[in-house]
Amino acid sequence: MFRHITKYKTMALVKDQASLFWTLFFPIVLVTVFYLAMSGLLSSDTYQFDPVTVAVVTEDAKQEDLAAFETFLDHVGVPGTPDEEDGPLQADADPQDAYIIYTKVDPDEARTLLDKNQVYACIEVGETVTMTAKNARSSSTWLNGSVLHALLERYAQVKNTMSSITKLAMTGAIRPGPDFEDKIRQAFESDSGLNEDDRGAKKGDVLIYFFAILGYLTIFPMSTTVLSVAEIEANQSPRAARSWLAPYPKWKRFFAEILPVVVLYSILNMIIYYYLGVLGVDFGSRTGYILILLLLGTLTGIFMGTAVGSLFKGTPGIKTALGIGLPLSMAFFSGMMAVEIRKMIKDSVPFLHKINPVALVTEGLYSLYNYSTLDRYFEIVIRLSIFLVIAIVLTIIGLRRSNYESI
Amino acid sequence: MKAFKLYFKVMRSSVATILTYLGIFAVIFNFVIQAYLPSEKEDLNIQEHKIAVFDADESPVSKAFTAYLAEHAEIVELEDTEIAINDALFEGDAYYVIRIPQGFGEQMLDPECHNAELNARGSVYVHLSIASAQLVESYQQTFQVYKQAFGGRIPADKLEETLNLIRTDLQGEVSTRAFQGGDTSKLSVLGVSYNYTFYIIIALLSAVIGGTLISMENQNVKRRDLVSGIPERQRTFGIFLATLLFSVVLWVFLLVILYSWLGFDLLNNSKSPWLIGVSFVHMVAILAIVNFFITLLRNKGSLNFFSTVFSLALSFTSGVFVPLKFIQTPVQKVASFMPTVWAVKANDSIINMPEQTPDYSFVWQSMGIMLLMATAFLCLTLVLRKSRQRSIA
Repeated sequence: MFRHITKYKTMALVKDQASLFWTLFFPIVLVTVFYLAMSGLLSSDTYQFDPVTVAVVTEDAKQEDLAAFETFLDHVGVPGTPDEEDGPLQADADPQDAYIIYTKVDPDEARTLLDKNQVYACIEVGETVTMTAKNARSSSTWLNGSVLHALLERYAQVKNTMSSITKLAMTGAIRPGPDFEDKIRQAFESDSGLNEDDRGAKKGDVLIYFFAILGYLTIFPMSTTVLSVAEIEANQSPRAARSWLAPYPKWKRFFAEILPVVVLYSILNMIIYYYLGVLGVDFGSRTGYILILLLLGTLTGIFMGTAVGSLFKGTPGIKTALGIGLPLSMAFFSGMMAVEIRKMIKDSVPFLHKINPVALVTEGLYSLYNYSTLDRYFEIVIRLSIFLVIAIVLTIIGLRRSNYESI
Repeated sequence: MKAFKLYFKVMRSSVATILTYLGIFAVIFNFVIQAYLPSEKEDLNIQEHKIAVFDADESPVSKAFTAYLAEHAEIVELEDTEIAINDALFEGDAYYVIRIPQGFGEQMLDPECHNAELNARGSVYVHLSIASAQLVESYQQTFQVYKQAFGGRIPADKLEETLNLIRTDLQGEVSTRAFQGGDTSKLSVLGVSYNYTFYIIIALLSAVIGGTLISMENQNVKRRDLVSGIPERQRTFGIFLATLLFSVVLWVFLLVILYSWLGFDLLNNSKSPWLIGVSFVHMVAILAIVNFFITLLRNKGSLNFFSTVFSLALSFTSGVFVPLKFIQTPVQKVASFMPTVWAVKANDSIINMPEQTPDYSFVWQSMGIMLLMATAFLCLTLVLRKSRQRSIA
């Protein structure tokens, strides 16, 4: 009987050509479009640290502070000019190795530039250095603040060091030789500047987007299986009512119905993985482990669908909405649409982050790409397996002991 | 108006579905706004350095260096295993991991050595790695300065005193202040949020309107309506009007959520009406396109796939999720055959428009192009319906 149901379910899947077309068409089109949109990130240098734009106000600065700060500016930045159309500050020279692009302005203009987002921050040079910027919770410009703050701290530290050394020389603790000033200057200039390693993101970090879409596609079968429970519940479809007459356990019938779906989506996700490889997205060399993770993700997606389908006795419309909406939300929370969201969820709702299966698959793929050991991978596999078992148990709970007196 | 009423009668049966979709997208939208909303705090948010240090040297120099790091950063205790380090860097629990090798102190004191070897790894957050690297470089630089001040070698009896001096010098403070600007920062968040509404509008309209529209286009329902004496033209008009009304309600709902988070006072900003205008025209254009594709599809089973592919593909290629500068030019060119990329560009243009000399010609042009697209797809839908009507007759 098991083989019989599986065979006919497979035939039904294959012969429903419209559904089969969309099942195959959907992921292929989605990853193709995703690749085309994101390949710019993979191939270009654009996903990297851009110099921080600042307005410098020196009105209250003493002459010696001014000279020191100008030396500092020459060392860490390039001058810029405010864009006439209120765009960001434009560098006057190549900002290749610069941390900042700066323009010297009066306080009112600095405020205007800051208000219009033409510069990230305003720096007032005086006895102490004051940095003013907008508070933004989660964006790359917010992170600019850390870089700028660290740079300005260095300036203050250099000032302190110069002052201490002058004092040491005056007290006779050190005896400056003829080339003392040159040596001190060389030591201050020993900083290698912005390192190439610091500048750009590593490829694996850009690949997070692709890991997330693979994670989403493994959970996506949920949208199909959320309705498949109806095919074995006698009060939800005529075919189920008819097949229920056969003396065959419901759970066996359920697994016989679901097996072809598992096979179909597992093959499909393998195709997607190899297809992305053909497109030029390199997921690393651990293909076997990746495929196991994708299979586990697919199973989780399928049984999450059946769990929702069996537990929620609402209309098919609601189930469909949940089947479409839940994987999308999970993908959104794992950073598929904006990587900042992933960090925000991790910081603000860590529990949600830990149980999100799309995030688990994403992190599993990341660990396979970036880690030399497999400990993290196996931990994720275990967490995903627990999730899968819970989904299966919930499905069985939802399916068992249904009464059909009033079909 | 019979078709108009019938549309809403059919829709009533899927109210729960619509509410489910709305709930899911409202949650997503809420997170987007929260992620980009500027904080009203007076202190400037500066992300604290989180550094993990593994000191294999344990010399006075390395200990002083570690103590300096502890004064300027949160020192994260990590297990010295690859998995723990990788996890911390990926999860943002640490932004920089420094491994001080044996002999570090000797190298630092060596008159011939200008830069002692350190092993460091940054996290995925490039900015925070750079900021942490500054801390390290600052220490090494100051140490080298003092070494040169002592003629290239720090005397052993002066080492402790010098290390203390270095730590004192490195206490350089920078005061920070949060800029409490006008509406500008909120406006840029408004622009990003409007871009996200484009995705939600596409996804909601294709999923929610589509189902009812396909039911209305069912052959039996259509034949029954035609037999009852409603002219096809009137029926089409009624359906279009109903979908438009429903779309406007959805659109207003999203805008209310948006402004309730960002503040209704933003409606008084001169740029807000332009953003609303672009959003409305985009919604109309998307409605026309969705109407066309649904009329073409006529299959409820395909609708879910279609709405997901259509909304995600359009949003990814049009700069809704990723800034347009990251999207390759050929992809942008293909995307420009759809309205969303024009709406995103118009939004960017409005947000960055100078206050003194505003020039809205590009915004008008974008809205014109979107309206032309809407008209073209509307005509295509009418042609398709006409040909279908003939086949039914």
